[in-house]
Amino acid sequence: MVRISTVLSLCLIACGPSGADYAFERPEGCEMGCDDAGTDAGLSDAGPPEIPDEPLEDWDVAGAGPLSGVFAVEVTIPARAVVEVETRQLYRMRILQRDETLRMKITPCRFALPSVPSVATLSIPPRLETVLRGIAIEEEGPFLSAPEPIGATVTTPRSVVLLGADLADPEGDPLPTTEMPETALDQDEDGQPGVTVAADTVLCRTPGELYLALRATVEMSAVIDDLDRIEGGVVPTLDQSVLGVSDRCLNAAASLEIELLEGSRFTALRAGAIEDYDGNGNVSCPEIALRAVPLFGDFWAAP
Amino acid sequence: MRRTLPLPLALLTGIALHATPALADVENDLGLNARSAALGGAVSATGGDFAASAYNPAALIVPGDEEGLGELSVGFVVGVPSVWTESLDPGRTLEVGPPLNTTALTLGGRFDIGSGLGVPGLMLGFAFYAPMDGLVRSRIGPDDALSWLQLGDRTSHVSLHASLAFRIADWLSVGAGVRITFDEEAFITGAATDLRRVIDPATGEERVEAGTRLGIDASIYGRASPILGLLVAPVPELRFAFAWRGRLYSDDWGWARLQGLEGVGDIGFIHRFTHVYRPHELAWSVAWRLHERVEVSAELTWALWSEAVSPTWRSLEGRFGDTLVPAGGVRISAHPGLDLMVGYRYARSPFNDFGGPTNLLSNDTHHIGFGLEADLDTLVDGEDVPFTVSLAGRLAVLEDREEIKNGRRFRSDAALAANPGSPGYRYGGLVPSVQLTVETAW
Repeated sequence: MVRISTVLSLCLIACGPSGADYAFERPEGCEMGCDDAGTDAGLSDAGPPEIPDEPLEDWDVAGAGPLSGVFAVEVTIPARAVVEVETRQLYRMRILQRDETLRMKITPCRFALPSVPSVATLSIPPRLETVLRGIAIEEEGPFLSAPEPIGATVTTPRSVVLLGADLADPEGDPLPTTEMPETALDQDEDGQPGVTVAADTVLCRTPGELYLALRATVEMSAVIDDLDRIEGGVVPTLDQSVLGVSDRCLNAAASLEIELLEGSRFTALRAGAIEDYDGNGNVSCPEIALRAVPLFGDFWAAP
Repeated sequence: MRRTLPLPLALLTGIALHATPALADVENDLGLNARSAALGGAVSATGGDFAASAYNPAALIVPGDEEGLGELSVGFVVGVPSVWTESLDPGRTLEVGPPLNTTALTLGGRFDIGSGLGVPGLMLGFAFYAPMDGLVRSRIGPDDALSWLQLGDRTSHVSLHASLAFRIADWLSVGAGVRITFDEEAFITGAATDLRRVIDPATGEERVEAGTRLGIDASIYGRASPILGLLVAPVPELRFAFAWRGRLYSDDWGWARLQGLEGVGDIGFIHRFTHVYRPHELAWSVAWRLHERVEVSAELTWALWSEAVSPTWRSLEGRFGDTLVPAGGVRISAHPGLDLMVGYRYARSPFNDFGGPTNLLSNDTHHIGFGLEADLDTLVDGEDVPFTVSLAGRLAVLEDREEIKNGRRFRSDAALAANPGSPGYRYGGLVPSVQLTVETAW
């Protein structure tokens, strides 16, 4: 009897796996799949997008010329980071035209940082995108070469986007460094110096973070032959300084040196009712980001 | 040498290994000789041959062994798995590589070295198992690739047993030994000569190509796993045995590294896999000669699978569990010099995917053994033919098993849909094997 009970006791604890220590990833009800997208959610399965209500700027539009309106702008900058890569930026540009005078407001919407495919990928997290969208360059001046837009040359004011640094001269002062971090600014308020950029590299088992100060300038010019689609050249600069890394395995990615190459260009497409997702009469940055794929192609598709 | 390779995958291909992993071993799945195969592995208390080096070193010496005994044995084993898998989605074809066949030679022996050393009752035993299609053959795949957990390369690794037994008294002997498996190390180092971006003409996808000079350095090291045993024979017809067989595995690790990338430095990865994993085992066994022509044996083995790691060295919490493996055998002397043997062993699967992302196929298995043993010296009148020939067959019946993926085990619906095993599958099969052993004694 003792032997039988011993064997039965052994069976209870030694009859194969029980799964007791194997935790579930999702709650009950998800056995066959869930309506929620879980933690791997992408843009396409995360439910309807939420567009913050951003009304159109309260400008006096009486007598506005035909070029007036909101444009979605994609800037493409070829660069070299070990190999030739491309960085792209999305902007919202509002124009109010009165003869040669243009009132322009340019807001950065999305930045795709230079990445070496399959080696190091840098991306801007949502928190930083919110910071980006808080930046706007607004100027008024004779940016059009003739009162009639068709055939005229448009030149945008020089747009400076400075992230992660507080400089007296945003365009000319040097960016902070790890050795001289005094001018670094925790702009995304995450407790890390500068702004935080997500980094996924082959040397790291899990994605990490780079803490950067970054400065990008663009100056666009084009000859207008279509009031709804303007294409032209860009004079860009891109300058970045790594202020820290979340893991030493990112040191190689941090040391990537980026050299901008010739051939930068921009495409500005007039944004209309289709892009006005919330129908409030304004096409805001989140709406341009949402429509980036149909406007500018698969480059802007979620990974 | 200059080679052009897709950058990250170039390093992966350097390892050049593929598919099915394996966690198990020769002793439990095939039997180390024909006798242990036929008796279902219930041999820790019967002993009396070289295979005791592996099952219970104390049983290298048994009551009745003569002073100055020497035995040599050579064996040949063939195993041909026949398995099936089918998806629960009729429109889906599962990608699962077939298990490897086994052809191997086994050499073994036991020697009364105590007579020569002046230590009566000291016996040395050894066993050498050598697969014929390569001494070390490993297969590697991710844990979510469908693969046979215990039918892969488990019998494709060379192993060596060496044990000593000492008879303390006529009724008591102890033994200790080691099983030696072999670790593999592979270091692949590439010096980058140039990098460029190209469009793959076949797929249209953009990729980075790296010119490299590759160097490969590989090494093999022995890994010793201890075995301890005890044999108690209160009367000559009855033996009790206890054995502990230490955990064993083949550790396969190394790195692939691409050096000198301009602006990046070095990139690469470290890999680590495990092959032929067997957990710690505690075995209790009894052998009883019921009649001068009939001996029965029974064995119960506790296998500590809960500490196991997957072939990619992950603990997979909760998916491995300890098992209790019963086995039994009967040996009948049908005629002087001719013995018949039958045996049975039931091994519950130590692994369950539980509907999660892993797809390691593992079945509850019934092992049915049968064989005959001919002592030619007894059977052949008037001739001195000092050989014993044993022929055994074993049929491992893999119970049909069904795995249904559970969405709660996945981080997202996309991950569930992308899993190679979704929405689930069934699998099972048979593993027949035949073993021939020729033994001589003096």
